[in-house]
This record gives sequence, C-alpha cells and structure tokens, in this order.
Amino acid sequence: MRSSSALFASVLFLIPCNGVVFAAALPRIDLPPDSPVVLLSANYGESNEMPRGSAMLLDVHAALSLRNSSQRKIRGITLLVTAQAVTPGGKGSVTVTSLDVGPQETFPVRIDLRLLRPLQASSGVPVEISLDGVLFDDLSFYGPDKLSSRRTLTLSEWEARRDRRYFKSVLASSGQDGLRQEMLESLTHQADRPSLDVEVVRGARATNFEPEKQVQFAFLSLPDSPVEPMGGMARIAGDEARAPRLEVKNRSDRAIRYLEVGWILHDRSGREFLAGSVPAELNLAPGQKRQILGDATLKFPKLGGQPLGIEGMTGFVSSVEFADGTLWIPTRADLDAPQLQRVVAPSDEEQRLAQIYRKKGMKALIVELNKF
Amino acid sequence: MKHPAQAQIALFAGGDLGRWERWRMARHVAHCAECRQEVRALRDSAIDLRQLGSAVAEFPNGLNWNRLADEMTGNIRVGLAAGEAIALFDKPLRMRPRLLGWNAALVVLGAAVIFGVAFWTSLPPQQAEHLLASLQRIRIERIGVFLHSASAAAGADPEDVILEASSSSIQVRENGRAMSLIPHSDGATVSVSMHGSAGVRFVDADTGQVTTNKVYYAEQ
Repeated sequence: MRSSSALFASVLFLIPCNGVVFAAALPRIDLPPDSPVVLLSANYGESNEMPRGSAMLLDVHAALSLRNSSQRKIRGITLLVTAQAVTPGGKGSVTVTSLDVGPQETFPVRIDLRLLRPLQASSGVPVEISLDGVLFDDLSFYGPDKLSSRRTLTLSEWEARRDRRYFKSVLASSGQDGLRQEMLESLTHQADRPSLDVEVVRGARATNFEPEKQVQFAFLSLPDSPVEPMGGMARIAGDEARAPRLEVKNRSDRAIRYLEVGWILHDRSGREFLAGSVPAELNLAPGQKRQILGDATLKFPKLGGQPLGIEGMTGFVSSVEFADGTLWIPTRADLDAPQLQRVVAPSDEEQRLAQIYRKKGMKALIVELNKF
Repeated sequence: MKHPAQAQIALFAGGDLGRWERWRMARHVAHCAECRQEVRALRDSAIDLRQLGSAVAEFPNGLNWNRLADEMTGNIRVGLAAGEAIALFDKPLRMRPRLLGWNAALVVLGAAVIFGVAFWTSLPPQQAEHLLASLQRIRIERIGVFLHSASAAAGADPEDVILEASSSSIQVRENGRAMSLIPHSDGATVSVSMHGSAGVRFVDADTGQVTTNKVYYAEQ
C-alpha cells in the first residue's frame, strides 16, 4: 500500500507542470447598480489558466454585449480586468474610444488579455471585470476612475473632435479628392511610423555597464501650449535612458494639475523614435515653475541587430489638464511639424476613420463624418 | 634585568630552595646588587628574630627552634605549590602562533600579486579593457543573480520586474522569464508610460472600434 502511494506520488511529480492547462473559473463581471451600461450577454470563449514557473498565466477572453441604459450618448468606456491586484501584470484594462452609442443602443466590447497571478494564489478564483469609467458626449463621466480613465477618455474625445473637425473642413474646402489625399497620407504615416521595442524598469538604477552621460533635452516649441519646457536632462548609458528631469513653467492664466511630455530619442544614425511619455500629476499655479521627475528606466533592445546608441533627446508637451478639468492638446498645425509628424501616432479617431476609408471607401467615410 | 619573585628570594635567603633553584638564584644574586641587598636584609632579620626569641621570657623553655623552622618552611612550600597549581588551572593555555602557515600564505599572496600586476601590464590596452569588462559582467551577472535570488526569496522587488513593449507583444519579465501578456499584430500602436503601464491600440477588424489594451504594474 505504502509503495503504491509512493509510486503514485512519483508519477505526479514527473508530470511537467507547464503542460497542464486548467479551465479558468468564469470571469466575474461586476457592474454597479446605477451603472449607465447593462450587461446583455457574455461569451468567455477559450479562457484558461496555465502554470508558468512560479506564476499562473490567465488567458482572459470575453465578448461582452452591453447596452447604454443612460439618456446620453456614450463616447468611450474603460473596463478594469483584475486577476490579482498586487502582482505586476495582474491587472489590465480594455478601453474603447470613438464610440457613438445612443440611449438604449447596444455595443460590443471584446476582452483579450493575458494576466498573471502568483501560483500560491488559489486556482479557480474568478478574474474580475469591473467598470472603471464611461464618458458621455457632453464630456460628463461616470465611474470609480481608478485608472484615471476620465482623463484618458476625455483626451481621446478631444482629439477625436479636433480631427473630425479637420477632416470635415478638408472635405468642405478640397472635396473628396482632398479627403482621399489626407486618408492616404494617414495610412502611409501609420505604416511607416518607426517603432521601437522598449523595456520599462521601475526605478532609476543602471542595468548595464556603459559609462553614463547626462544628455540635455531639446524641446519642440508649440506656440499655443500652456506649458513652456525650460530645460531638462536624462542620464544615458548605452541603450538605456533613465531618470528624466524636466523643468516646466505654466504660462497660462489657469492652474494645471496634470501634464504629459512626449519623449523623442535620436540615435547615432539620425533616426528618431517616440520612446514614451513622462506624465506628471502636479499643482502648477499660473506663472509657476516646477521640476518633474520620471522614476523609471527605459531600455531599448537592439534594433535590427544593432544596439541603439542614444545621441540626443527631444521633448514636447503632449497634453495638459487644467485644475478645472478642461484640457489642452496640440493642434493639427502643431502636429504637422516634421519632427512630430514622423513619430507621433495618429489619434484614435483618425486611425478609425482611415480604416473606414480603407475597408468601405470614400462614401462610407463621408457618411461617418456627417453623423455628428 | 628581570628579578626573581620576593618569595623565591626569601626561600633563598633561608636556604630553603632546591639544589637547581639555589644555583640559579646564587648566580642571579652574584650579579644583582639589588637582590643581594634584599637577601642580606632577610638574613639579618632572621638573625635578629632569633636573638629576640632567646631574650623573650614568654617563649617556653626548651622550644625546638629547628623543628619550628622546618614546619614553617613546609607550610610555605605547600602554599607556594598550591598557588602554582591554581595559577595553572586558571591561566588559559597559550597556543604558539603558527608562524610558518602565515608566512607561507604571505609568500603565496605576494607571488600572486606580482604575477597579476606583471600579467596586467603586459596585456595590450584593448585586451585589458575587454578583460575588465568581462570581470565586471561576471561580478554583476553571476554574483548579482545570486543576490537577486536571495532578495527574491525574501520578497519580490518591483524594480526587478520589467515591462517590455515590442512590435509583437507586451511582455512582463521577471527573474529572466518573459511572459507575453498582449500579443498583437502589425499596425497596432504600442505605447509605454513611465508610470508603469504599457498599452496596445488597434482598430478591431470585426467591430471597427478603436480598442486599447493595457497592463499595469501593481501599484498603479
């Protein structure tokens, strides 16, 4: 009896853990009672969980059908997906922007995420899907806003309005040929935009052996920006850039509570890449100066087999949120600056409109532009 | 000059030392005026005491002075022997230093230093730099991994978790292992924030909706 138990235990031990796939407990969807969206149906497809080393990898797939139960049009929504709140990679989100969902209309939201959970955490605990925020067409917001969804969704909506206005004006002034030209340029830009693999390491400690140098930021001047970058530097060591330090001045007549500075890198061969953004929550009174710090290291793995030698950096103010909740974003004219045009991705709305043109043609695009 | 103990001098003065000790003391006293003076003083005192004893009426008649002296001498010897025995018992044993072992180690160390310096100075500069970089790499990668795993056992360090956004996926890397969190196709827009999140934006082919999937560090 004892020997057969030992044999059974040995066989269990020899089964490779990584090959075992468990059916995950169904995700639990938690919408508050006064939520402006109602869950109509949910299909969880092939969600599963699989041990990987000391972590459990959860494949979360869900096709949700939601209904707008409010009296306003929904422009955007963010769902928070949590496998384990305290594990890096244990939390994700799905944001859908550029929506135009009227009252009582339904709309789909697809969730395709992989999340991590410590192996010690009990298997079978459901992944939680909750509502983080909904933005309406009057820019009002509903939700707990744990992920700063209000800001994200409002920024996207401001960019959408700016770009719709722009393309409508092109249609009005240059007709379908002008709009077609704009769409082709946008699609080309999306395809040609240089991309760069980036690793984000929390903290500003060195992870390589290269000698370190301090590199000054150059700044792109955006005439209408309420924030003026005064100077800044980051520590560069080989293919790493860390601890960016920027000094900014509020040149508007309103207090600022959040700003984001885009960070463009130049390599030895003159190529440029948008490395990331340096966000800062602050309280900046009119005329006041403040230093903002980025407490992370960005590492750029080899590009095409060649190490990326960082030679210079350019910063530009990509968004500002005032204390009263209103926002500033660069204008289309600002974005037409060659350096920005090369590296900055088109807005959500421009990307969506270009896809409509590519898949359905000019007529469908014009119908879409005339909707609102 | 090292002088004998007072007890030894007293025993010598009274003729109470053994043959070997007496010879040693005699040699010392012959060359040492101070001890000679001490011996003389002790002997004079003993003579005075005897004279005083014979003059004192209270001493019983017929007292055997020689026997009394023998008893006192015996008591002194017993006391000295007991003191020596106790001193030996309390005193920690002193180990003689192993001079030969240390010397040998120093010789080997010196030879190694000389060899190292000679080897380093004879290397061409480029090779020396390469060797130095390799040694640093070993120090940080090997010893660092050891320290890292020790700290990981004590508790995960969030700084060692790396969020990687590449053209094909967003991954989280921890302890050298990478796990793909958001695989995506060409045409998606990848973004990273220094607040510790990475996201992928794409236009959903089925719904035409602009969807952004993000993963976060825990503290955000």
